[in-house]
Amino acid sequence: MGTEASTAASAAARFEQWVLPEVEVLLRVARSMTHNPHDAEDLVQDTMLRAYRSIDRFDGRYPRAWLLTIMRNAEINRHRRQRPSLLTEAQQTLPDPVADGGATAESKVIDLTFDAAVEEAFEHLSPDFREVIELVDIGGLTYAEAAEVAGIPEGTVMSRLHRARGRVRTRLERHGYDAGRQQ
Amino acid sequence: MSIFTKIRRRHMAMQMSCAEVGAVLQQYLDDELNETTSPLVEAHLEMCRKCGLEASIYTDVKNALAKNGDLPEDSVRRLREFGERIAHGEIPADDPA
Repeated sequence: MGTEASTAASAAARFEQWVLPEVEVLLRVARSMTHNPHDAEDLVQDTMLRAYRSIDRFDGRYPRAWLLTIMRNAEINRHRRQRPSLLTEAQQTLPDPVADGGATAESKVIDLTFDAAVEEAFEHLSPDFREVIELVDIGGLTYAEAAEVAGIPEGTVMSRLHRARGRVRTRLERHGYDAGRQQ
Repeated sequence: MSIFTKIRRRHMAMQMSCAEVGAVLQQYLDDELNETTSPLVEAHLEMCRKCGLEASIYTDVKNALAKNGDLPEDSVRRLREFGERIAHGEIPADDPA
């Protein structure tokens, strides 16, 4: 009994040391992965539960990378479990500044602030490009961490980022934003 | 800035061409560049208006994108509490499968 209690205390201490400080990073990445605030919270909870279960087998090196790998696997499982019919459920999604319906294309362009223009350009990127931007620029991950989450080589993260930002920039220029000088 | 520092910065700035800086600019802005190259890029960006403007627009873009990473405080609080309850054994972490 004494051994069990000390094992539990040890697992709790490791969990508090390695997992709890990463909650915000996990949530950012989960929001990027799911595009849905409720699913994102569920995914982080699932990740924490899985992490606790396997914490005895983790050597303590690079906890963020370890957690992100767990999260990626949890997300893959979530998709496998999700029946196609559930995908059509009305879900609360993260704000989408582009799909706002009523406004005309002209009025959107006129009303664009710099941040909105960047966001609009971001929404026009392909999913592969959006993913690296979400992980590095929005999620705040390093290239190595983003590579782990996306399941692609670090060099690919770098090249996709470079091209993605280039496309954002080109689109901004089309909207009249010059390099280094906001309109 | 002393004249000596200015000369040193200019010397550093000239160690990399604009093309070389352009090739590593994204890594520099992401703080992914090594400690040897990073100060050379920094010096070049200070001295070269064209590259400095290039860096400026990408910094603006990065900052604008980063604003999307702001998290709702209540979500973070709920998840921290959830994690603490796991750690204290209040939530069974056994695999339900």
